[in-house]
Amino acid sequence: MRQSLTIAARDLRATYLSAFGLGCTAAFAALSGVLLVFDLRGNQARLDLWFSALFVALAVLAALLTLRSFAEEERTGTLELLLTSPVRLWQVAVGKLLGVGGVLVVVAAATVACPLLVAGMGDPDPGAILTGYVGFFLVGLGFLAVGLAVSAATSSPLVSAAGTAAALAALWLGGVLAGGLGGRPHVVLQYLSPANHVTGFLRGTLGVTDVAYFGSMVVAGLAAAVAVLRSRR
Amino acid sequence: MRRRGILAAVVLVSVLVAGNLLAYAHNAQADLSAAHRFSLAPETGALAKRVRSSLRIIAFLNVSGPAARDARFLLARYHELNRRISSTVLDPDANPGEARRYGISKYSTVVLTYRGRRVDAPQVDELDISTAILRLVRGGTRTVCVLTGHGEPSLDDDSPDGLASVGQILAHNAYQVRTLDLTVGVSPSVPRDCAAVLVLGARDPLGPAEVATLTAYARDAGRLMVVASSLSTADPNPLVNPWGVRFVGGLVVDPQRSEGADPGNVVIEDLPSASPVDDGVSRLQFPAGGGLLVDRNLRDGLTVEPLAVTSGGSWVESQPDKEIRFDAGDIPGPVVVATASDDSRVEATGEQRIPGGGPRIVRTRVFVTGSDTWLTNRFLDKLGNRRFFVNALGWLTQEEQLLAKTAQAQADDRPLPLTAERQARILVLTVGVVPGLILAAGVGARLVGRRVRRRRHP
Repeated sequence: MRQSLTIAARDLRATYLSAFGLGCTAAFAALSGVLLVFDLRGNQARLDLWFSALFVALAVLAALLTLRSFAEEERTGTLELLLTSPVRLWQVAVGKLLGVGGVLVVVAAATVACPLLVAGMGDPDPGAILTGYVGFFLVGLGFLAVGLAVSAATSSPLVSAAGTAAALAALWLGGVLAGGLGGRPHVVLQYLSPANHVTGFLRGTLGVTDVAYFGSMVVAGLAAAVAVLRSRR
Repeated sequence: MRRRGILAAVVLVSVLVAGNLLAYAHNAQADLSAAHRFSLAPETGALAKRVRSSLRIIAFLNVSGPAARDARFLLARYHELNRRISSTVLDPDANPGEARRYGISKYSTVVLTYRGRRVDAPQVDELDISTAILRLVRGGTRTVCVLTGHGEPSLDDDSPDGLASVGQILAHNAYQVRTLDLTVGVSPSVPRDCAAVLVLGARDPLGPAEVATLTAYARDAGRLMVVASSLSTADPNPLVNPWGVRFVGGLVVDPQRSEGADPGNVVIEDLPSASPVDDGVSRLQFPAGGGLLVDRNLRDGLTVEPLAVTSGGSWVESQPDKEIRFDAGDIPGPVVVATASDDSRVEATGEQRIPGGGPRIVRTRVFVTGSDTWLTNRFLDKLGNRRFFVNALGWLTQEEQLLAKTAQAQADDRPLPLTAERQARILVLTVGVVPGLILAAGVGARLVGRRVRRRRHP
């Protein structure tokens, strides 16, 4: 685990010593403010639409953050160094996830001003805000894990970002497509869509199904990343 | 190596699929929302299990509003309880055909259909939806008859001393209320469709003919709820004595277990019975109540369960107008304040369910309390009073899983007008200040790092 933490700390430092990490965080904070204004146009101190828009934005953020994890490292030649060092592949994958997870924490902290502002002006439901942030981390980690798997499979950062965005969009839209189907395919596609698992977080509930879904996404993403790295080692 | 990899992948996928299937089948959830708006009561869960074929819920709402989003989520909880329950949220303006088909002319109407029957609910909240489902599943409403003509508090009275909350419970449990006035007519009788007769706090004495009518009704497999009023001159004994209960009147006081400074506002923690009336009730608040005594020598077939008993430090004050102190003439505690009598006997003839008749079992149930104040709007939601009444009603009418949930505001109205000043404040802080601070912190960190490196390697 120590090796994973070392990799995570190195990645986190590298991200915030670059204009890319700072820019991503600042842009996400600014976007959250704009989205808040749109959300509050309903004249209600509710943040469900705000969180829902942030979850979609998380897909873009995950695509951007994970393109540096493996694809960028391969392009610059540092991935070979990492893969030939005496660390296990799962430690590398977990370390990379913790690294981008650290960025996620900073990004979440940068958005806290929004609920605080709403709380200062009105009376939002604190339970729904709490579950909104729990959802933010779960959804974010799930998306980042998918991004890591895609990033591990390519040496092009651009392909990595586009691939992650496409994979997440396909998952998300699967639920929409399921609307036209019936029976088991409908149930399975609905279940596989993240859109079906975020509503509880938006309303103020934490469901075992939703936690299991995003937990599985993290495990599956990490396992896929490890498998791809193993095949390339 | 390759085979091991495939095996590991298969095992991992199996574990993930099994875990998700398990979570899907038993979807527990923690509800942190205000007032737990999205947690369905256990009675709703039991009610949903009684839905045996497709039940469709169509909520006609403004689909772009927050109410529609909450409605979808709440209705999805019903679907999780029973997959036969499905729901749709429709905008009547966007779907005029559907709206016309169901005769909908305004927002916030919910239509439930089941086995060709239809019931409408006024809004998407648990109480209204579950009440409608109860009506659909039951296939109709049942009637309870409420005795009038003796100054009883009204079921329409929403003042603190009225019984409007009791009326709402009856309505939410799909009971039709019929007033029963036995003081008029030549030979008044209890209508045959009365599932139970409720005598709720009669202030004036019942006439002998009324008592005879109600006793005859009860004897013939009748169901009677007698909520005596200790504040009145009406003596409920002629009505309850045949069922092994005696009303001793007075005022039950319990200085050690009462609310506030009023020793007559008794809190009851001893609910010794295994009767379903006590299910889920841990404490009751029975203010201004009289005591009950249970006959020691009960006839065969009659059982009387003391449902609620005050503590050993209580007594029945025979002179409540004077100083509250235990003295001669008072009845020492523990005092019974609620009972359930069950009288079963076999009659030689009368069975109608089998051809040719035969002996039939006649079962009478009588529920008695020595106070009527606990049922008033002021006290019904204190401690377990609401649940106690609902349980008693269910026990009398042999209905399972009646709804005791208190109506709660499902509409989550949190007004926050977005003024130009507020919008500007949000944008300045979130688009200007916060990103600026992040960038400034990053630039500052780089400058400090560069200076440190220069010092180390000049």
